[in-house]
Amino acid sequence: MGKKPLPSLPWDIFSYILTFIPPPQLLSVILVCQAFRRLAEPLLYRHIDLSNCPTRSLYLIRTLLSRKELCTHVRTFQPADRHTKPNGYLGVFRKIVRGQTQEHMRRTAYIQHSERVAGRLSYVENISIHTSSEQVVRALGCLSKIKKFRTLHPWGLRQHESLLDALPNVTHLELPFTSFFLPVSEIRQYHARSVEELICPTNVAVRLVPGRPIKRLFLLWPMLQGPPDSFELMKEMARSTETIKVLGLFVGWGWNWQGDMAQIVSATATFLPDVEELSLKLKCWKSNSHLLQMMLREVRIFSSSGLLIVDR
Amino acid sequence: MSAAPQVTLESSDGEKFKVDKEVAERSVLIKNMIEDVGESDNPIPLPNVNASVLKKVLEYCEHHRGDPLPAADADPSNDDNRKRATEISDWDQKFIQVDQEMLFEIILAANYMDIKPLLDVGCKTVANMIKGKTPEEIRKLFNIVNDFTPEEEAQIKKENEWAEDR
Repeated sequence: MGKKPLPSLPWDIFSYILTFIPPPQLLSVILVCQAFRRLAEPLLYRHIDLSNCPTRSLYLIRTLLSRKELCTHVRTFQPADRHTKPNGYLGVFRKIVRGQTQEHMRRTAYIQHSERVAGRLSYVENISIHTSSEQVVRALGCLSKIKKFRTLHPWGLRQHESLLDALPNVTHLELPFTSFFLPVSEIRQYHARSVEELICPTNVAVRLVPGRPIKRLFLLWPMLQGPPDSFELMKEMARSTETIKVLGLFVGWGWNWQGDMAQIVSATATFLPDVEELSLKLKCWKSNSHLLQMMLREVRIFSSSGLLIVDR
Repeated sequence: MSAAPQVTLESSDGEKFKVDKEVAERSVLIKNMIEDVGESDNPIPLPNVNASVLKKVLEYCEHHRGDPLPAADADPSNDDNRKRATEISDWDQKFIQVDQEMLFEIILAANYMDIKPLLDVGCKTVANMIKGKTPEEIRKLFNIVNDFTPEEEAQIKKENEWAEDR
């Protein structure tokens, strides 16, 4: 007679046991058999922490692009760079973007400390700046064709003000999330009156939205300030605009899917009733992927073209 | 001391255990039963737990009779792998040093009788058995057959490369 068969544990207890195992060690569990994989995989993707290992982001993206359903398990996401150095991380994602959107890139100039290039860019409509060099900024000033202006350089806001004054045709304006740290009193009114799509931190948006026909507004890390402040700012914005149809929130660290989501939905419905579409994006993947879209009126969560992240 | 109210529990194989009400009420299931039925001299049947397991469970309840009760469902989102403490106190560790069959029986009984701290001790112990083992070792532990093809295995490894232990 062999050993008495072990009493088997029900799957729900087993899945509870797995919550006591630290994520890196879940890898071995996933490789045991199909049933274990089904139980352990959601736990491995529940809290993704890439701090201290930016190169792993590429592996993660590769997996998430091929198995989008895994995104539904994600509850928190810690990008590689925790503090004020987004450049290394953005660089990684830019590599992916480069591979994927050649056509878009042809018309996009990435300028890094090279003002010589700027002079040759008279055809450019879409520009992204990663330097605060004043010479570059001045050289760009003559490019009246620019419609899409994007800067990712930290602390670059004031340098870009003069440039924006000279760019009458900008319809898409993207400012770095680090401009969040500037005191509101220092944010001057830009003269670019034609902006329709604006991407910036909430406190900057409050100064930029009034008087512009902004249809699409994307707020960077609205939770950095804590919800109450962000909602006060939303209220202020609501007084000055009725044109915003799409409200986007770039979320990342500090985002609590359960609590913050409910607050955002109700604050949007209260303060910005004209908004027809609310979209949440993970800042770092923003180039292609709508991570989550919610139709306010239907209070329904569904996947759009790309990755979907919902709290379960 | 004999004034303490007592209740009688009956295991699946008919053995009766007379214990202090306070001890039996470590089990949320029994606590609710007593509340529903009221004080009674009839034994409370536990058809899913046999005598040897029930004895062990009651030993645990007796030792922890004075502990504060865990908050009911404090925060369901707290079952995070990251922050979980996996330490087990010395007494509990000695208590749970049983063979695997008994360990599983205790977990099942704790789950059925709704004794969260005991369930946690049992589950942590199984988790500790799994920790640090290779997939093959885990299969041996639970008597599981590998049902992956080599291609699937390679695929899974590649998918989860980002999470590899550094």
